Amino acid sequence: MKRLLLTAGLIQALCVGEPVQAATCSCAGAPVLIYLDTTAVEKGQFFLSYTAEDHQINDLVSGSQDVPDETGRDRSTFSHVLSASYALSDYWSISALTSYVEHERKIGSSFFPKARSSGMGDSVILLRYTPFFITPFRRHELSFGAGVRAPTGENEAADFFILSEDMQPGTGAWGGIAWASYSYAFNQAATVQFHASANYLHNGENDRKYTLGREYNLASGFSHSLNSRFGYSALLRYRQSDPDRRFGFELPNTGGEWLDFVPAVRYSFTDRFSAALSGRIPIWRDLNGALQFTTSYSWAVSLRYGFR
Amino acid sequence: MRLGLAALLTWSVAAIAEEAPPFYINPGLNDAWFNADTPGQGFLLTVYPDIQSVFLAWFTFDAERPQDGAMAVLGEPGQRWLTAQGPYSAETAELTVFSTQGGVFDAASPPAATDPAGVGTMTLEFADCTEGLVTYDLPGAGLSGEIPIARLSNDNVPLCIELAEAAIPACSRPEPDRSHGVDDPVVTNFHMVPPIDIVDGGPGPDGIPAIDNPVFEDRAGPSTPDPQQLVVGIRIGDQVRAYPHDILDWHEIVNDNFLVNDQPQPLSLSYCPLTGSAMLWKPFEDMNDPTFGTSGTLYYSNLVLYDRETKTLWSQMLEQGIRGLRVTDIPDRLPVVETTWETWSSMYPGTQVLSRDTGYSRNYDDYPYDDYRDDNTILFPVPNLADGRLHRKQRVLGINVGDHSKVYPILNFPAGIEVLNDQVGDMQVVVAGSRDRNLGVVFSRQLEDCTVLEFEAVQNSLPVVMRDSEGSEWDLFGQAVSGPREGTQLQKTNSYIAYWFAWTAFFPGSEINP
Repeated sequence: MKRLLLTAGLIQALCVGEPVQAATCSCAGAPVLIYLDTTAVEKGQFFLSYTAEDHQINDLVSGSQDVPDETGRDRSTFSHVLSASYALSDYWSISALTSYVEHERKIGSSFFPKARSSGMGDSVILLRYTPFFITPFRRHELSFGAGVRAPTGENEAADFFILSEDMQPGTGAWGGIAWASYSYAFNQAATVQFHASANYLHNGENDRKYTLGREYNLASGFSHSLNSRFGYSALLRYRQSDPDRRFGFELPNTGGEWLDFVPAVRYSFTDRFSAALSGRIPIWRDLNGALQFTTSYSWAVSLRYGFR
Repeated sequence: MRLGLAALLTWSVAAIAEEAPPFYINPGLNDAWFNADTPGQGFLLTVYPDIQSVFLAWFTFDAERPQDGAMAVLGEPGQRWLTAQGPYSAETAELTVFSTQGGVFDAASPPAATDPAGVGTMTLEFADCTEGLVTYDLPGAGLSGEIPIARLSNDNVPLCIELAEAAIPACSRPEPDRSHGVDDPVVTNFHMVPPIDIVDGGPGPDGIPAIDNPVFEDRAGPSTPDPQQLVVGIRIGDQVRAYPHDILDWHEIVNDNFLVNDQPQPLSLSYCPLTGSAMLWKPFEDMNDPTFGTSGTLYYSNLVLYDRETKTLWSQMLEQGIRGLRVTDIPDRLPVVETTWETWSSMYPGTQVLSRDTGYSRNYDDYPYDDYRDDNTILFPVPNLADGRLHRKQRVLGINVGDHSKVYPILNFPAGIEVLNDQVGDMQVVVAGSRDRNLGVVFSRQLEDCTVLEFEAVQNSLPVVMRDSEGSEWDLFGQAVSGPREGTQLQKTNSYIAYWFAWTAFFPGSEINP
């Protein structure tokens, strides 16, 4: 039975998770989960996607209050993400991702030039089990997954000195991922769907004794396919991150809670080839410590091709 | 008196230094000097005491005999002369050797020229008024060696002895090290410390903004700190200012200006919240921009400043340039007193206090590092963490004298003022501190005339904290405010307050005052 894809692939990807956070500002933007393709669920399906994301990290926040930043900070991360998913059977599938990450940091009031770093980011592989998926005769889809994040990324990027953890393209540490998602189709054609997902990311310690905080992500929202070509979706995504640690000690001003609005639109050029535009807009956050820089917004363009 | 050759060859300054008081180069050495084993060669030496320099003319021959048939109009083709000049200190002069070329006998043209870089180096050492040792290195000619020298005539020896004795200081009060770092740091590619030990703290350069236009209020203004709030106190002449820790925690540097002799004097106060250390630096006079900013990096978890003119990085606790054009340079330091606002404002009722109107939106009631001040947390790499003799965040008054360092935990002082007459290395010091007032200061108690004073504590008279055996009373800034020594300033020391973990990272093996 053919799976009804429509906009599901789009929203499932966006449901997966959040960028890895890091360092003293909970602001790093190397996406290892958010753009992981999890579309393939039917035996033999194979999808390949590329995503380019611009992540602006210039909001200064004290707890849940925005604070004016008189330093003129300009911090951004641009990521290139290549992801693939392949269904080994009608129940088992595998997703993988690798990335290339560029960080920039400039304090407008500073006499120092912009600091830059770039390099391979971390990679993820996720094994998924989908006991049932949406078909013309079934309204529900449920998936579970477990995976690892491999430290394939550059983690000793330097600008005279080794840059801080949030400026490193990779985390330098292994991570473990637990993942689950659920979708419900409101009609037989599955043009309107409800989605929910949850995942947990456990981070290991890198060579510099730095450990990113554990992350818990919840997301839910709706997708709507207007026709066979065009669809859109809207999600609310909640993330909670523990403080980062160095030498086992919690670092002040890291971790917290975020609630983001994630809108997306997709256009399918053919049955196999589609493009999507998505964004991330902060709605609410309550961050640990006295002051943190965090996401102002992000936007991304994705291209995806299905080989079968 | 002439020593034999064997004796001269075994002559060493070190040996002399152990057995006899140091000799001082003086104009009584002006003379002709030679080595009896190399007749026909020698030196003419002139000492210029006003500029602490030595000039020397060296008359010698080429390293090889000229080829047969070589001609010279005047003199012999193998004759050579060199000059050398440079500064001297005590018994040693370090000279640059020059070779003048291109001239013609008693003629202005063609002009003779001398390469100012020199052709080599020379060290001149004198054991006494009659013997010396020339050590030369002429790399271009591949020549180096030592030449024991003696006077051609002893006519000037009595004068030399008289001047040398007069040059001996009446006493030898130890001078504080100018830097807390190693005396002769190795500089590699403009770095004084291994680059790997300088770490990015995260916020980036100037991500923690310095206060460049500080505003001050009187003690009853809206920025008045809580009574037990720690402040960094500065007194320059009659200008008295307090800088609360709760503002410094967020900015770390205040680029301030004072009036000294009616002239504006820029001074930069830095405070590192991660190491609990405060310093006041006088920028170099040749700086067009005398201000500092936060570099966003840390060295041993301690603030690294940068000067906005050359972008040189400066370690706060080393008080020295560690990377850049001014690497190894050491700024002039001025004393600060850290204590509670209650204590400071009662000592100096007319004090100004740094306003919270800094131009930045910060909640100064909120400490930015959670429980860091009190817990065992270490946020960045530091060496010597295994030294757990004190709690990592215990505030200690530390002093560094050469290879010796000692700390006085503030908590170990009694509630009232305690004064300790102590010795650290070869320096006689006096320490004053109070647990309840959360303060500690240390000065040399040896005066310029080498008198070593003994002090006792004075209670309830702040800022006066001690009285010497002659009856003079002294304040927290080490100044005699009454008695026969009134107006005298005790010599400052290489000392400051810091968290224990930071002090022992920079000065491992420090003695702890019980």
